[in-house]
Amino acid sequence: MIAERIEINIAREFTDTPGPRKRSEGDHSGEEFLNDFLRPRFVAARDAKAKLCINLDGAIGYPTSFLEEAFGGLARAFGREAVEQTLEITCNDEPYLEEQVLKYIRAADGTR
Amino acid sequence: MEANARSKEKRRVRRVQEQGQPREKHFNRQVGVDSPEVFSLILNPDGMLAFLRAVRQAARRRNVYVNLAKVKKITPEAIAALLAAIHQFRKFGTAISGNVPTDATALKVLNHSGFRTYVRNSPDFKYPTLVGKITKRNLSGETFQNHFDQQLAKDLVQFAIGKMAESGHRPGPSYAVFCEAMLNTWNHASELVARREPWWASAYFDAERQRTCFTFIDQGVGIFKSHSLTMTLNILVALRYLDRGELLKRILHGEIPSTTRIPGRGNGLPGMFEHCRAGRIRNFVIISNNTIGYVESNIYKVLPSEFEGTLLYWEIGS
Repeated sequence: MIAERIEINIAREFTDTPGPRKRSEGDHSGEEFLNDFLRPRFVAARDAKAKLCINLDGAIGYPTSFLEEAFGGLARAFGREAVEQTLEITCNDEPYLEEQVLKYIRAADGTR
Repeated sequence: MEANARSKEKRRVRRVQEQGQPREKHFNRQVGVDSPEVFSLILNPDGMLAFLRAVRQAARRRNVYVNLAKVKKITPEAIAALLAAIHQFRKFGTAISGNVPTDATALKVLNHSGFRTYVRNSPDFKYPTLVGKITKRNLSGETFQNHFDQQLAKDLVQFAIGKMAESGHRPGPSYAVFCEAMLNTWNHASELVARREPWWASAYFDAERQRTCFTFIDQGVGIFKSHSLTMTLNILVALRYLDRGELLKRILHGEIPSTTRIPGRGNGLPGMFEHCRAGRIRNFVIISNNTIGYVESNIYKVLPSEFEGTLLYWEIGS
């Protein structure tokens, strides 16, 4: 059976205090989230032609460095088109974060 | 001669900072420094920087008595800056003492800000219910793997959430701003790669205005001594076609690329500017070296004195 949606709630599954950009800078970094959570689930969703739904609610906030490293990093690795087709971002706590993440994905595409 | 003395002083300061140990010998003499009536870096930057410079100069050779008696207005970011200065000089063996404002409102702000947590108080002093919280990240006990401390940022933001619960205001991107500020301090604020700058941060709930005021201070080299500018900008600044005020504005607007030149980097300060432009944070002020930017009102100025490090101030609320 193919799942139509794969979900990640960052606050529940990863941390409610997202950290810096790189692992070397501190705990719960964007790099850690990208490599340990986002990338494997993105590949699974893409291969299953499913949507990967990222829920940003519940965290105390998101440093821009964390978001850029995670989502920009994903676009640098797989390309903007594939990421936009697969990813769905939701954030009811701070709705502007959805647009911020999309901005990093778009900006990262030209830097692969 | 003067250059030699400065160089000697610089070596002594660096030695103490690297070793993290206070001077063994303490000064015997004391000198008084009067504070400005408006004790505020955002409302009276010239007066406050002159005051901090006077304290700094006096603290190199004497114990210092800070006279706050004439203060009529005091703001939380200046309290955090005073604490940062006091603790910086204590490391060198200078004893800093002082009095409190005679003005009742100013005294209340000082007492409720969290300032008393970090200074020795008179025996009969009773702690009030705090509307402010000040936190410090220092070098002692810090390990290399544990330098980015999101828990301290979270504590301050949650403190603010608790104070704003009645009004229902959210802290917005305050946690993100604290984190970016910590990263900037960690990556750019120190002259020495092996040494990292301590930082101070505070949250203060202003019940009258229903706003929480956040401050982040590091005592590093400041933006203009850490940000390696492009050749063109260096020439323009040297030729005085462009002043540091304009430069700060361009950095915030994202028009000057990150020093790392790595794709995706350099979003910290432009991100804060974007939060301010969108109204997610209010009254955003940045002071670094001899430059101040009132971002919300788009005013960027060069100051007559240097602020040693970088200060970020912003508000959340109605």
